[in-house]
Amino acid sequence: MDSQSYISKDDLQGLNIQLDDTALVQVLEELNDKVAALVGEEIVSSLTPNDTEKLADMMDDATEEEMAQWIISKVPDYPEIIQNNIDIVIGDYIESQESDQK
Amino acid sequence: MTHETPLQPNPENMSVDDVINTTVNLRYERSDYLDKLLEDLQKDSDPDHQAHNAGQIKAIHLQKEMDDQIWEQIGGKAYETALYNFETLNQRENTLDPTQVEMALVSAENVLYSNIVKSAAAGKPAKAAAEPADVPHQAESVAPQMPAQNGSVSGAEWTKALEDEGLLGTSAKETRTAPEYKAHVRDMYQEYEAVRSQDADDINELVALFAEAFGDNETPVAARTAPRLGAVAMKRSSSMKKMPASVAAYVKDSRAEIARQFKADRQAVKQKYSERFGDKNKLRKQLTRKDFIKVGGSLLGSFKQGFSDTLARHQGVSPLTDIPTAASKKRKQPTSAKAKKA
Repeated sequence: MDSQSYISKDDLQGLNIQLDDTALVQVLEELNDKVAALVGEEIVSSLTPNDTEKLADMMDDATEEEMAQWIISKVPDYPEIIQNNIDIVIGDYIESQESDQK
Repeated sequence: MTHETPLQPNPENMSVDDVINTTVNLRYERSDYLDKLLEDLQKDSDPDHQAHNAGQIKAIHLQKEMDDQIWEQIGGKAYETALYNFETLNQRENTLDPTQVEMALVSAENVLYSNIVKSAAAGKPAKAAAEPADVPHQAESVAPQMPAQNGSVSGAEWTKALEDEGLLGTSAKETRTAPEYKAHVRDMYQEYEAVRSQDADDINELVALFAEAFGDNETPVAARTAPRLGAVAMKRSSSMKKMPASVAAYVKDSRAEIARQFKADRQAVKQKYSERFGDKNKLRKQLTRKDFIKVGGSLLGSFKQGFSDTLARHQGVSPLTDIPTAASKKRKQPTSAKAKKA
């Protein structure tokens, strides 16, 4: 796993998904956006109304690191949330590729 | 040789769990059976039986060693370890990462299940001539039937029984040197090598065992005996779902499926919790996908750090190629959440 994305080039290549560099970058962008969106949605759904307001404030005012630490303190199962959504997004992508081939 | 036992499930309804549980039960039943034989032989104090019994005891010990080897090499031991870790997780005071433990168990189950199915495929051609249709069902029938003579067998008879079953001698050698069998072993190894790349922590050791067992002709015991164990499971579950052949299929059919189930379970619990707040959390509904991406993206660094720490605890892992993506880039973008709140 690389340090700047949830799903990496190596992850896809390890699944025998062969794409040219341009397509690969685009696919990775889309997949990582999907993961981040699903994770964010599930994180927010885990918060109370007051905490959601606090998070909304932090999105404007706090640094990314501060926001991450606050979320971690409020949603301790965040690693599972992330890992599950990575697996789901990759699974959906493989399924869509198989559908395209049929 | 075919017997119905309480372990005999309906093949039409046999799930992956059923296959694994049945195999585990067969393993334990067989172990108990051999232990009981040993115990009976050791209790036999008749001086006229001593030399006779000594040969049998030696043969049974040999068989138990072979069983242990087989069990380890088809992934049974790794499965037991993973299951133990999972079941005792709450007693470990956070010394193990729950996610890693769960994934290790899932991987171990998949390896064991796949091996049972694959072994059955390998066993069919090898056993076709000697045992065309009647695959044994009872626990002790997984191994060669001991020819009984007043409750005991001679060493020579035991050896002959092993040969008749294709576990020793010429037939076993033919089995393990057959081109089809070698091709199957190679395919199986390649598959495990591929799966290993996804779950290296969990099954690295197991793959090494496979390489050792199947990479040469010097360790043929498991290779020629495991198919029998698999054949039983296959016979009992003709309609069961086969292990996906490719890593991509494995991810799609297993990891993604499991992830969806975990997510659904988690959300069901949280839904109950959030219902206490009724419709008060209106802000949540006003957030956009862009906001969610920002929230989700903010955890990337912490998640990667946790992942690296976990891997580092198990083995040295070097960072892979970095590709900046939209998720990471968009983390720098401003949000309008506060405006929505206002």
